[in-house]
Amino acid sequence: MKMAKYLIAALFCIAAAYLIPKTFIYGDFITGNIDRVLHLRVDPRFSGGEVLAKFLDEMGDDYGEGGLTYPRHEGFKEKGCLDIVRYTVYEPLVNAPWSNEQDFWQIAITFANVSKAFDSIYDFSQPVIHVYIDIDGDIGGSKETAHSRAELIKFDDEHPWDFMVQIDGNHKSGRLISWDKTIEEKVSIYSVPEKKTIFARILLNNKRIKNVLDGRTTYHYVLTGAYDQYASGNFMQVKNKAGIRNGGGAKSKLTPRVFDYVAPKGYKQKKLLSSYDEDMYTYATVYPLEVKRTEQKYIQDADSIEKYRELARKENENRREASLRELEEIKASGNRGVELASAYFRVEKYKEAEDILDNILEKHPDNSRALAYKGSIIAIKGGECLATKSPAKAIGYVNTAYEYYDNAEIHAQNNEDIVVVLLNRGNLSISVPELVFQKSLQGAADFLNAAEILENSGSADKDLIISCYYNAATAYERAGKEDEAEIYLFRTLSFDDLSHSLRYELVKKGYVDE
Amino acid sequence: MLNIKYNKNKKFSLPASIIMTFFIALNVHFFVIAGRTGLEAIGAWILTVFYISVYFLMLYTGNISKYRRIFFVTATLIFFPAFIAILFETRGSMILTGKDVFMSETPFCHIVTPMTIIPYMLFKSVIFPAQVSVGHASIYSMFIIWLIATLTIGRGWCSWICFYGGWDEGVSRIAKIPVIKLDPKSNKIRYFNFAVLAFVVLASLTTLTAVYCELLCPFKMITEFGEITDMKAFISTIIFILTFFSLVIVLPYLTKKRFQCMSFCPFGAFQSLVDKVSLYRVRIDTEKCIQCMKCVESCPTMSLTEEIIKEGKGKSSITCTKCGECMDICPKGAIDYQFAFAQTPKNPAWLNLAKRLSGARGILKKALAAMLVSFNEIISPRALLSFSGFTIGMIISTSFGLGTVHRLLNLIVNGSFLL
Repeated sequence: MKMAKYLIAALFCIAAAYLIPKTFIYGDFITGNIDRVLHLRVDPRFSGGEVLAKFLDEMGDDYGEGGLTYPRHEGFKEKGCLDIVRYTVYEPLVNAPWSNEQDFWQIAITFANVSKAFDSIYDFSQPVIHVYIDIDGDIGGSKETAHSRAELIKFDDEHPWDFMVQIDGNHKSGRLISWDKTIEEKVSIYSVPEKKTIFARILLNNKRIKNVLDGRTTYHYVLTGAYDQYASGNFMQVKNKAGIRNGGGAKSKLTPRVFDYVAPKGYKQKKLLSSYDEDMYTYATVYPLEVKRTEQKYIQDADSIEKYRELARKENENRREASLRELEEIKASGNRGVELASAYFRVEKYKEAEDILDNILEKHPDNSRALAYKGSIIAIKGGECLATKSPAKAIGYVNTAYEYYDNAEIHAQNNEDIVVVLLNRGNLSISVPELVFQKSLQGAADFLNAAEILENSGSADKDLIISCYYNAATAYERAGKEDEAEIYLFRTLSFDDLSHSLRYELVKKGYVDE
Repeated sequence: MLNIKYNKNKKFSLPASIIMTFFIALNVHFFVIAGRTGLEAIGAWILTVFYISVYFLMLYTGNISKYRRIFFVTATLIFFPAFIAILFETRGSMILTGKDVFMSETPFCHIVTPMTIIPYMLFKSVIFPAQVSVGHASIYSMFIIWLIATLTIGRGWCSWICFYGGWDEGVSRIAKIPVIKLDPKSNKIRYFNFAVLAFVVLASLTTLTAVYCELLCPFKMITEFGEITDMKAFISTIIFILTFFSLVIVLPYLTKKRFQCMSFCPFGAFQSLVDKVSLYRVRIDTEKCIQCMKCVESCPTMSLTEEIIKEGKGKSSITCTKCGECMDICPKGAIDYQFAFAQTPKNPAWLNLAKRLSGARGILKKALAAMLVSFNEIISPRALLSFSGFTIGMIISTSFGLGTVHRLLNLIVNGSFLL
């Protein structure tokens, strides 16, 4: 009895010892399941408070009233550096832990691109951001901009602003001024290029600003222009033609000097920024974002999930049939090249695909597409190995696959080759365990590069472009970069004709079927 | 002075040592070698040779604690250079800035764990600015490592896994004799860290910040520390320096005890409390024990006391870190690891059979006898605890340890420690 008990204990301990490395190999799966129970999150006081409201803005709308172009100055070469994609308002915070600021109210502006182009103090140089805030219930306020002839806009009659926050990368700190200029405070700035976001912390030192602590609704006008040290409010002029010190594409002298503005729901940026009246000589009127306690934004809808599950299933069946037909056509045409291998690959006949690829690579070891598909077939072997045999062997396969992709990238002859490499590598990066390989960020970058190449080349394959953005969002999610994931999910949703499979995935994530 | 004679009775046979080392080698291959290229691969092989040799010698010589110590101290020594180098590579300094905090980029260390549990249960959030699931130093990575370690070796964490513990263990072995000989009767000092634990848990709950990390942790000195922007930060910096030099350097050197781990670390106390669920214990065979008290003298955490030995309790106190020091030094081999849920049978049937077979003629019978002996050794708590402890310790230190070896090679080849 004693011996049996001992043997059982020993077996139990052997099993425990054996499971130690396994726990790490399947770490993603395990943490994913634990998280379903624990829902761990870091106390938001460390990162500036709970998010009160988030406003997503269309990517690529940094054209102001519709046709503005960036100044010709070298520093503005970077695409998207004046393009706001999200504006976030946090709960005001008192006694923040581990922070240089004790009591503050944080706002964040995310751009499509953040870069340090000239000798600025922070990691962003080009934009100047003005956030005009109307604190509801506050007496007074102004309907004109803080600096005359700066943005060339006026504000909604119902929401005159009380405070204006100026953020730019060229002053040591941001600045807050009240409409009557009686309050002037510093604003702490943190730029985080990795998140393409600029955070500003408004210090709650003044009684009038502290009004936000009682949870009242506030109204925000978020505007960005090109930074000019000498211009009024630092908003660079815009003229008909872009110059070194002025933006271009302005239709009128009254064209707002605003490249991007976060318009509230129901309004269009173009329409509002071109609402000036040349005859009456009145500026364009802009309307604010309303910030109140957040409601749940995304709701999972069981009916939509069911509906799109079925539609996606049928769509996938159709796709497979089409792929099979395509395979037969290629076979019939006598093509024995990469096209045939990729057709086999798409219908999951990997052995046949590999034979063809090996043949091609024997004769042309530098064939980029063949290398890319061969990499994917090796990766698939790794996946099979992980499920059945040795994890160490699986890692070996995956690493070899990446070597093939990198080699394929080096030998790519044209954009189409590069897209094939990027898509193959991207797909692997979002499939392998993140805890072991940490490739998700590379995957996101690959998908975004592929999307950019496809869009720039005017590709007609909209589905592919959309899936690139969606996969980039998925990759960011896997890497724990939910902010970035949200931006690219929003980008995916901005396309009109989403496939059923994609819609099914989005509906599962809680994006309401509209 | 202690007359250290390592107990030779507990050495493993050559086949058993080879078999166990083979299994460790598989783990080392997966976590250290797989996927490395270039200089990093060379570093990985250096580390692999070290790991495998140390583990083999640990079993083959039977000196568990001696080779555990070599592994443990080395793991600590190679952990910090890479850790600090990475801070310089990514931040430009060791200073923890406001931006790192609000980006939640502070590595989550195991010592924070007990401070975060109650606030998490009450407020559903972790009061420490770390990444939740991304990277090696995320909350989930540490949680998984902690969970596995607790379920297997329990407080053995402090002698096999902790990347801080090697500091005072290493320093405590420098002097040949203790300059200050602690009175064995003053062993209540080992309970002081329970008071520290109670204080930091309550203070963290009250302030909703990890108080130990903010104000007390000695290892801030060699990891990352806050900017000195106000008086509070200035005072806490002085505390970090004082606690590091006093608890980690001076007192371990003078007393030859692991002073920080024994008396100050709240995580050690926490592990003692959760050790009940672990698979292994340290047991004393009271029939074999001659009460020489060598184990009491050698215990680095004062977990074995004269009362325990004299009263024949047969087990160490809850603060025992399962380091194996007492086992190595016991002249009668009276102390050993045991499974928590079963006692080692004195004359197991398979050993009796082995004895009979070894006396018989024929190679096959002798081979079978050797196999049975090896089997007995491999399923022993001693082999399995050392395997589990070594594996987890290797996993937790590999990433940074390899980083250090890689950077040292880079220093030799390219002239720069930073990558």
